[in-house]
Amino acid sequence: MTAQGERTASLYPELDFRILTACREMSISLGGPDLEALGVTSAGPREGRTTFALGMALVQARDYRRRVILLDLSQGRDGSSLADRLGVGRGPGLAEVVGEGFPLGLVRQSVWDGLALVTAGRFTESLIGPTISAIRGGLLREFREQADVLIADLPPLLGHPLARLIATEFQRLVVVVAAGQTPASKLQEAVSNLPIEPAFVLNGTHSNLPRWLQVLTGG
Amino acid sequence: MQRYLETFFRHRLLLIAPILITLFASLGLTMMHPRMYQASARVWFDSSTISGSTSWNPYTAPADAQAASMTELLQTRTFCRQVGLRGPLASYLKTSAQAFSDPLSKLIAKISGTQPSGTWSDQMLTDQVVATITQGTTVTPVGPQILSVTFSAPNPTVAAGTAQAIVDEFFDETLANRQAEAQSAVDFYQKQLADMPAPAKTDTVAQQRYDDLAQKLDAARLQLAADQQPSASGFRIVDRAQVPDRPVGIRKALLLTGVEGLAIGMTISLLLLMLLTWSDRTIRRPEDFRTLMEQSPVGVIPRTHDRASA
Repeated sequence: MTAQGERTASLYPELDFRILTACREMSISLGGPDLEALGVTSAGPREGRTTFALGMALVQARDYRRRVILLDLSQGRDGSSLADRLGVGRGPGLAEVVGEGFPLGLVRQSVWDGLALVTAGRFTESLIGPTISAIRGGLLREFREQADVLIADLPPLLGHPLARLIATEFQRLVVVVAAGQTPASKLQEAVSNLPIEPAFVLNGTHSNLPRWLQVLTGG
Repeated sequence: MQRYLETFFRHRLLLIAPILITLFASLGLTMMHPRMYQASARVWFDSSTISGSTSWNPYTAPADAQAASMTELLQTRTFCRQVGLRGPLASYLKTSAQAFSDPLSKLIAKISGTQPSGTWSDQMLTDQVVATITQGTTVTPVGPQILSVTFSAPNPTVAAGTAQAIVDEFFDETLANRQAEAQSAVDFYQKQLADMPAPAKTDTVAQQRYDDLAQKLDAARLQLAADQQPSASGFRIVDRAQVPDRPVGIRKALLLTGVEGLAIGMTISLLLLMLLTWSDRTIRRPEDFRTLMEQSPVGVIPRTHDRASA
């Protein structure tokens, strides 16, 4: 098995079969093989953005055999970066492209056949301005041109200056909502005034009822 | 309904805790309460003698009528005070002031170092006697003519002495009332006769009135004389209150307080459940999403054991 193959094999334990199945079903609603750019965000941290983005990328790469660039813009803010989960280096990434002029091809880290990861790199506060300019200047479009689909793990919408701006650059935007975590008012605040209509994914649903009661109540 | 059930099972320990706490607290308090002794006296009432009384009602059984009368008297401070002084209750309360107080008051007294025993004023003692008699006495007709008077106390002698004192005081009170009533009638008719001039022999109407009054005066005097006879009181004690040799069973008290504790705990839990459900504005199910966001989610990911953190 090649190094890439080993990494790919190690991907699957990362994602539960049920998560992958759910991502497959949602992938169809989100455009399936016609999807070009998908931004994945949430209202707050630790709602399951990274997992969902990874699941969608795997479905696009494996099921549709498409070339996928998985862009990690959450910068490991939730303590779990895609680079760590996929076992690749944290850089160079977007920060190096914006700050040091790295070519795009150099920051793409191949994870599996058709699936490449672009990390946030060594991102600092001083890079926020240039990043905004680069995105407005078509940086994301350049990424898209190098693959069939671009899937980005975005920062949370609340409390991050880049989040709203980047979110508007995507064809489809998915807001992941962790079940029983984010109050509805926070979620409404997060998605208010977004220029595009986001789709919502409810993550981590479960019932506390005993199975017999679930059967009785039809839950 | 589903939301309430979900909330209950999500916080089941928190919601079950008030039920268990109030249940065990009520049972514990009952166990800590001093064991009670019960003594009963049974009295027989003669309807023919009582029928002479002005308060007699032919449609009520004598025992029922006397039960109502005794219950009324037991609501009065004077009667209760007399019972307390007549029986052993007042002196018992004086010497063991805390015997009837609840465990919580005892604990507070212990912590604060105060000993209410021997420090009660007459007023406080009367209050305590009234409260004890009111709470501890049960008056029940056991038949049309027999009335049972039961008193509960933590001391068997006090229980028996007080039950007997209630009956004795009731007898005295009833007889005194009856005698006072008869005496009033005698006094009234005597005054009427004294104020009436001797009627002329030819004035038959006046003569008739005079004779009527004289007759009524005789009847009132007869009634007074009868009421002053101890044997003609119209009631007698069938069973004197005996000193009980064992306390009453605690099972019934435990059952009652247990049910009360459960009811209180369940009310608290129910309120807590409603509060928790109403205060939870997070989205947990697709249905909540539709209600709160007026939009359906594009998909649902079930929770897995290795739930991703980000």
